[in-house]
Amino acid sequence: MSVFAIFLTYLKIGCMAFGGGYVMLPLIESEFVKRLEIIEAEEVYELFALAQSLPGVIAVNMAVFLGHRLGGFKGAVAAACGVMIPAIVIITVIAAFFRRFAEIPAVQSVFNGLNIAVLAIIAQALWKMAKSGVKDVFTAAIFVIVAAGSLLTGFNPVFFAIGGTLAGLILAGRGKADHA
Amino acid sequence: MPDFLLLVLEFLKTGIFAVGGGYATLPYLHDMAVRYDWFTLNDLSNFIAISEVTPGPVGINMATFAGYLTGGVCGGVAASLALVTLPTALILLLNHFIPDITHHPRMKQVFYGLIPCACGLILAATVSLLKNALFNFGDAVTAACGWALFALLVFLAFRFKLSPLLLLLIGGVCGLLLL
Repeated sequence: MSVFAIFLTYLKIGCMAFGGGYVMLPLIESEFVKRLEIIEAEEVYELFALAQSLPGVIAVNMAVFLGHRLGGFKGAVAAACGVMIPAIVIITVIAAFFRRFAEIPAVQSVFNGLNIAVLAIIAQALWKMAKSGVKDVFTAAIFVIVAAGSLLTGFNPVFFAIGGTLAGLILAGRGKADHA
Repeated sequence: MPDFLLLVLEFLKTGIFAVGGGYATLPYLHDMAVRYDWFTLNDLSNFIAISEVTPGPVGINMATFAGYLTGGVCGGVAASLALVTLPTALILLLNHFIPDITHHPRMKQVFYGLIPCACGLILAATVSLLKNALFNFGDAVTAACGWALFALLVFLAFRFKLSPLLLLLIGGVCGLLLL
């Protein structure tokens, strides 16, 4: 598959994926697996699991993995650019008008409602994430300590992330429900 | 321009520490909103709403938005590129040296601690956004409407698993009419 074709296919996916990472998986399947028949669905799922478990933006990680598999280093860069360009262009245009637009009273009212909806959306996403990550007494303790610590101290999140990593290395395999 | 350099450094850091996708960048953006005068908590909440109704990865949308408000078009592009640089380099290196990284036992141990930690950080940032969204109303009637809307949306999100797009639609319409 040519580097340019990888770029164009990912550009298309980038324009259609409302809501990010998890919405992208079915789009990737329909483009690369069903339409182009260039990779097996199982391989796509494996790469997606990898993309999810590494730091960064899942959709971009996935593009880098898939692009690399299909076209080496250039393929990885092409896929990443393809998935990012529509988002950057659209948001830049919106951001350019945002501050002036947000001063209109009616718009402020709409955003007051949207900001409340955002809370429900994050709660939904957090619930899914916590169900997979908080699975025994140790992970529950990490969750509570980090949430309370971050709220009360306002320390840089990086400190907590480093602490969580160390706690994982020390505690993994010692919790009851852990099958690792 | 030192602000620009700081912006790039902050997003490089966010990229490598944000694990779990989607809202994993939220605690780091929240930290920036509190620490610098680049954008406010209210702006951050608005980015999320806009990121959900526009195509593209939520993390890239939020980075572009935050970067734009900090440093214009260049700021938006730089923040997005900074966000993905280190994870991309990491993936290319891993692909080269350890092809089967997710099955590596050390990785499992790291994520055992890191995922609940990321959940805790997101919860803390969300509480802060909640204070901003629900404790700043001008009068008691509006506040009551706001809390009722919050209860309704949480109920719809968990009981009927409504999509983010529908939740935003309901929130936006009710906001226009009531808030």
